[in-house]
Amino acid sequence: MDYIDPHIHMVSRTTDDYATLARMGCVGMSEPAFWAGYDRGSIDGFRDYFEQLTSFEPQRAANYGLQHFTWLCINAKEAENVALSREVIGIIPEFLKRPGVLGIGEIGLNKNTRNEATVFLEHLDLAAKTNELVLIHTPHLQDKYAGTRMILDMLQDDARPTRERVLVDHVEEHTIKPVLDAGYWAGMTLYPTTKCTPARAADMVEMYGPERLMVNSAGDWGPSKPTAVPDFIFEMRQRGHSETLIKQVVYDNPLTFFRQCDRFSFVER
Amino acid sequence: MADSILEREFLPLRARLLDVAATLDRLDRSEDGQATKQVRQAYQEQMQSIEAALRLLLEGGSRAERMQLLFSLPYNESWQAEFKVPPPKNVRDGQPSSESLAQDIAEDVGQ
Repeated sequence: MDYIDPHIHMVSRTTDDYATLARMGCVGMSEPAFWAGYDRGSIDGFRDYFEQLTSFEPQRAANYGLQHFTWLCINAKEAENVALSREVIGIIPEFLKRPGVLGIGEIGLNKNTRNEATVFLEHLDLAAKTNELVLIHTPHLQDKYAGTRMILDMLQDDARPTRERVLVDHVEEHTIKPVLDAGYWAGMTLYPTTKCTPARAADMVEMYGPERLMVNSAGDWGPSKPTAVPDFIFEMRQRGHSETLIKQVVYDNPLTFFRQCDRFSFVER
Repeated sequence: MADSILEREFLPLRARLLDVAATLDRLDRSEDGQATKQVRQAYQEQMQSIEAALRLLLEGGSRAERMQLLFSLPYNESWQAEFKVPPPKNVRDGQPSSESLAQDIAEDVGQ
């Protein structure tokens, strides 16, 4: 089955992973800007990163027939440095109109601090003024519930971004309902130890339905599995779900969300 | 339906429960009399949340959601007032429009 991984950090993966993804049915991916594992020391580090995301990765993906799209921001972990964050937000417009850029992301919260909230709001303001889609990271583990509620508070205080143009990612059993009830898209991340397993993601599709719901691997430099979406497809098939339902979650829904961006130039095969 | 789900899930569930049992045994065997009071207290707090989660397994209904909440920090409804986070209208072109806001934030930078 053709599928799209709507959240994967290919800068952290090998070229062999591109080949494996292509063999597993992946036809496209979107790559949000994220934390490199260390705090970058200057604005030039981000400029180079945005160059890599918008130039080198699409080409590396294309070598295996994969269509690569990206999102730009300074991530929540580095947002603790508000001064640097403002410099980064200042250069994002230089890259926004490049082919394959889908919007602002993955912005969000990490430890739910005041500085993170400030930088989140400034990203949201940029997205509203430039009419960009928004992809949101929700915090890890014990911080996820409060952080997700805080993010929803901030989104709902700003009337400008329409809800169908916002994807709230990394939802789990305790956060999926408020996100969907509020009208946003929701992403479930399939990780080996944290976040969701393929079985729990399938449970949530069964409980909440497939509307505005996606699954992703969020493959990166940490414990993660870039081929986790095919694991979800396998789990759904094992439970007897229809190919139509599975395809809606892993292919149609990402396409519907991304097609709201004029620069999304995806070609179906 | 329920029969087929149980048939498919029984052995994996049994295996996961055994894994939990073996992990708890391993923790029992590793009790360290040399641990500091702070480490022992942190361990006890973690074990209390694990025990609460185990009890929750025997109660019906939305176990996964309730277990997630059990392991979550609470949400503070008045967080915006406490943080004094500015509304979006105070920000223009990615730059703060209020000097006092910039000063407030600068105090937090580098903490």
